Amino acid sequence: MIAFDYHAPESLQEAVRLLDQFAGTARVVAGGTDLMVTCRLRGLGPQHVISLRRVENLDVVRRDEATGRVRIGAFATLRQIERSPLLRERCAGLVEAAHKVGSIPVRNLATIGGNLCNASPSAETAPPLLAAAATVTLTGPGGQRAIPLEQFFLGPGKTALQPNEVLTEVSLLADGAGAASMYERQCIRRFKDIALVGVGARLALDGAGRCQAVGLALGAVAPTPLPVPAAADLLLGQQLSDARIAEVAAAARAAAKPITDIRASAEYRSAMVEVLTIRVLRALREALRN
Amino acid sequence: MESAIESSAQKGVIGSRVGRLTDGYEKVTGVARYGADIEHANCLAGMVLRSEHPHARLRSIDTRRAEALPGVKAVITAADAPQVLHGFTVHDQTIIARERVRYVGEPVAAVAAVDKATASEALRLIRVEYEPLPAVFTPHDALRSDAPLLHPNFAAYESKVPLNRYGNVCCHAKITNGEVARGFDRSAVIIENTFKTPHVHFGYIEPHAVSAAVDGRGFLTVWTSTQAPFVARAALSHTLKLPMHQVRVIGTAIGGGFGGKVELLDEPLAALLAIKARRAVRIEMSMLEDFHVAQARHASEITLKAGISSDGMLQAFEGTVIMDTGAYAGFGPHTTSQAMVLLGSPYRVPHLRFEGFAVLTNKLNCGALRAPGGPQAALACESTIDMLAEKIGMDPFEVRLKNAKRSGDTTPTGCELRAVALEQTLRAAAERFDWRRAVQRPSNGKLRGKGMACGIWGGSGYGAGATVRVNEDGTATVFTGAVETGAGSTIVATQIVAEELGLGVEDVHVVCGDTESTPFDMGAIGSRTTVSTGQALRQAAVDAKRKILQEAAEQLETRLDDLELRGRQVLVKGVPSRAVPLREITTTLTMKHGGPVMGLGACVMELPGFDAATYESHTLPSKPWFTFGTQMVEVEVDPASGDVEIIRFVAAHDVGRAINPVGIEGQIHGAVTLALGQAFSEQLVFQQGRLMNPNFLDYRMPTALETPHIETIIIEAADEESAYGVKGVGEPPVPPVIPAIANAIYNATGARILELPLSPERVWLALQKVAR
Repeated sequence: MIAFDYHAPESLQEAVRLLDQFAGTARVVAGGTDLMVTCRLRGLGPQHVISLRRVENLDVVRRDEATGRVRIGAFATLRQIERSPLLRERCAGLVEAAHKVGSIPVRNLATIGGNLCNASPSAETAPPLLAAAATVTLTGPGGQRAIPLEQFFLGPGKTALQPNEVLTEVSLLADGAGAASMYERQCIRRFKDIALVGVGARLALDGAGRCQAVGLALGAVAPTPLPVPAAADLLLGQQLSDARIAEVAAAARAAAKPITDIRASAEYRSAMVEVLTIRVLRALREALRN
Repeated sequence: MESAIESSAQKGVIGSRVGRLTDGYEKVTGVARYGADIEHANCLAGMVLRSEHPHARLRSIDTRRAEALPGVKAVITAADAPQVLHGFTVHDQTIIARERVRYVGEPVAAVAAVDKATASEALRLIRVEYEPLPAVFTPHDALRSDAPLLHPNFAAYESKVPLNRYGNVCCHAKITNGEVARGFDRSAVIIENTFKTPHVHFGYIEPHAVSAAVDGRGFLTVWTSTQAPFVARAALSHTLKLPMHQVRVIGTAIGGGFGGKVELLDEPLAALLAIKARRAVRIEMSMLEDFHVAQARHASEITLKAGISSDGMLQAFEGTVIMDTGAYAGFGPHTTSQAMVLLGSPYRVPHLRFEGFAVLTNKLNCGALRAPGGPQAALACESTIDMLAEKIGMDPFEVRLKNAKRSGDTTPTGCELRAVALEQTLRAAAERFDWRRAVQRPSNGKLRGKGMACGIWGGSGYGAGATVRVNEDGTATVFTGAVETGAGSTIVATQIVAEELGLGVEDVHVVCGDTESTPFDMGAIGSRTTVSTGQALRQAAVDAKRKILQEAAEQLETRLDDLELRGRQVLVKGVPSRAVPLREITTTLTMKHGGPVMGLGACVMELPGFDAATYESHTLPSKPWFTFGTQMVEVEVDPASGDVEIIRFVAAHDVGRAINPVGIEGQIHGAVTLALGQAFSEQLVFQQGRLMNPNFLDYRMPTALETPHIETIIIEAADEESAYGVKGVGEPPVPPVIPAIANAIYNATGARILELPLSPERVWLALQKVAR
């Protein structure tokens, strides 16, 4: 049995105050699809659970006209993300990743903030966000700070959040004007499964078809979702030839540090990094040609 | 194409596509009451403390702190249970661990408290001192001469069947036909391979749930989502040392059984708690608990050596079957015996020799998962047929056709096969699938291939009774001990009774699965309900009809032979004007003379003869009926990732007579889908006897999204021994699925995979080897 005190503050300020008050013994809950499962499996949970359900405007999705980036409130559900016309047009990789999480009932509850704060190495939304140079906004008693997403993940289940901070917003580069993004994964079961390997990529081409910005990140092959800039940089200024794509994929594979567990062997995961990277980059080439 | 559900009124009720009038509304509207939904006044929450050790001596159990916790009403350990052994074939287990635990999850103690939180806290307060013992986790380790023994003297346990038992082997069975050496001498090609399959969970959506209460006389009632209330009653009476008449078992709605809700699990614990607390007690397993203790499908290792002549005639099979049965014999001797029979049954093999070992290991006990032994045997047999066919350059379809068993042939234990339609299913599947057509090579870099497999399955017999009461208003109520597992047995019951009494299915109501108010029935096991219970139901209806017509003959002053029941009326043949509404006759009978109309029926399917000289230490030399099927599948393999997608699936099965085609199609769809899970992703993963994936996250069953359209072909080769000619269909479509897919993957890629599951990684690894 799990028992805890449940708090449902109406403002972010109040949520942060409660977190500060119960520092170390409280967890924030959004959809609860990870937190409650973990509590049940381990048979114990935090003493205090602070729900963000009653805090308004934490799920806003909008395009920042000044920077061209897309901003997503941390409380936006994965279902909301996969159905958002703006995101479908501007963040195809993230939409695809959100779409692949669990089932529709799970996605109706699960939020992007929760997916990131759970800090699973296989978190679906992480690779496309890392590939799109995402930053996260963390709100604490002293105000807000924004950090690059790659600095947010510290290890399985570990993040850069202070005990009295809440992740409130995610911002990422948008597709369009010669840029596109994509996410692919490999599972044991084709649907409703956890990624054995995930690959997110974002490419921006110049007028001559050369890569001018490249983001590439992997899921489930390291203790954290893993950006692989060295592999991505091999494409800078280059045409997307099959040979070049293969080289990038081999570099991504070399950068991955997979383990063997009950889901898959390290050998298979490594091979799939290469297979999926090729698949994603070729698909992006195709998408950007049209 | 399959047509929609029809109204039964237009034509004969038998053979109509009737929808689920009996249990459908309750289930889709959410009012059906499953195991955990049964409410009682002042009901206590029961919880079970389970072993955390795969093998340990129980030094001591201290329950004092748990008993002292406010709100705790009863705590039980082995000290509270009668010293009784029980088991399906061998009586080797107790309802709660006594002196020793043999698997992780074995019950050690149980508590009943005012709520779950208190019960959970009480479990935490029970102090168990374990002395860990050396354990064995694989049959290979268990078979070593120096292996630690799970049971110090297993051979001393009472067994219902004489079994060769020694060490950790709970059954060493043998079957011999002819002389294999001669068969191999005549073979042009001989191959030998070893096939491995893992433990598989039932995957029902409803975890085990039971409640128990004791009345003022001390009589026990148990509500449980069981497939077999009478089996449960007998087992409760035996294990609790209560006279059978003091035990009543009521089957609730079942959220999936598949063989996993036959043997006792928490029922006796709930009963002991209720007896001790003098209050109703409910135990609901979590899915986590259910994964640890439900009686899984046996993991297997089957080595099969086979020889064929150059003209495509099978000459000899020689094989070893090893079943990992877990901590107790459970269904192990049966599964082993069955797999051996199935290995040698689809085809004529003049010389064969099989040895089978059911081996004890420190893991959960294994049971009878839908077609126990079937998929294991079929993977070995049907893969082997394809490999032999390739070696002699013959189409696998031709090899199967040439060697297929026919009516009058026997199983390897000499049991005669009646109304065999293997050839018909082969031809029907090949025609629908267009087997000779070359598979298209896709342009996307993927590989396509086709595969086929046949299967045989034998159903169970045992007793079935039925009572039909024709009510004063001319409707009928059926009483049957067979529970509705979701397979549609109640709608079939209404069809049979409606057919015989000239009623519509909506005129027939079913009372089922209560040991106090319904006649004995062995339960929804072994694909037997429509066959055995169906026969009893038909007899009961015919008996009731006879009584009605006797009264009608007197009233109408006609001969009995001139009367018939049709359209809710008693008709005089050839004289439509003399028709009398049935209700007039039944009202007279009920109110004035003759008494309420009760029809009685009973059935025990006879076991065909067999040849005792062919086997040793074998539990299943004969079964009352067998049936055959053929499946064909086209797959597309992604060589880069090892993903396999099913493009087409055709399943042709002989059901003898289709009482309700829509239900049969559903059974075929369900059985194939269940086997697809085992084919591609399902396996219980153990490390040192501990289950690593006790949840549906890492125990992957197919979802609707991966499940292909399954084309069904119903063949009706009537069995003259059964009512209407029916054969069962619940289990028969399970065995061929996996080998058909394995054969198709080979056809697509050249990679022959001998071990399950055929996960993307395993297929990919096999492809890497082919590439080298």
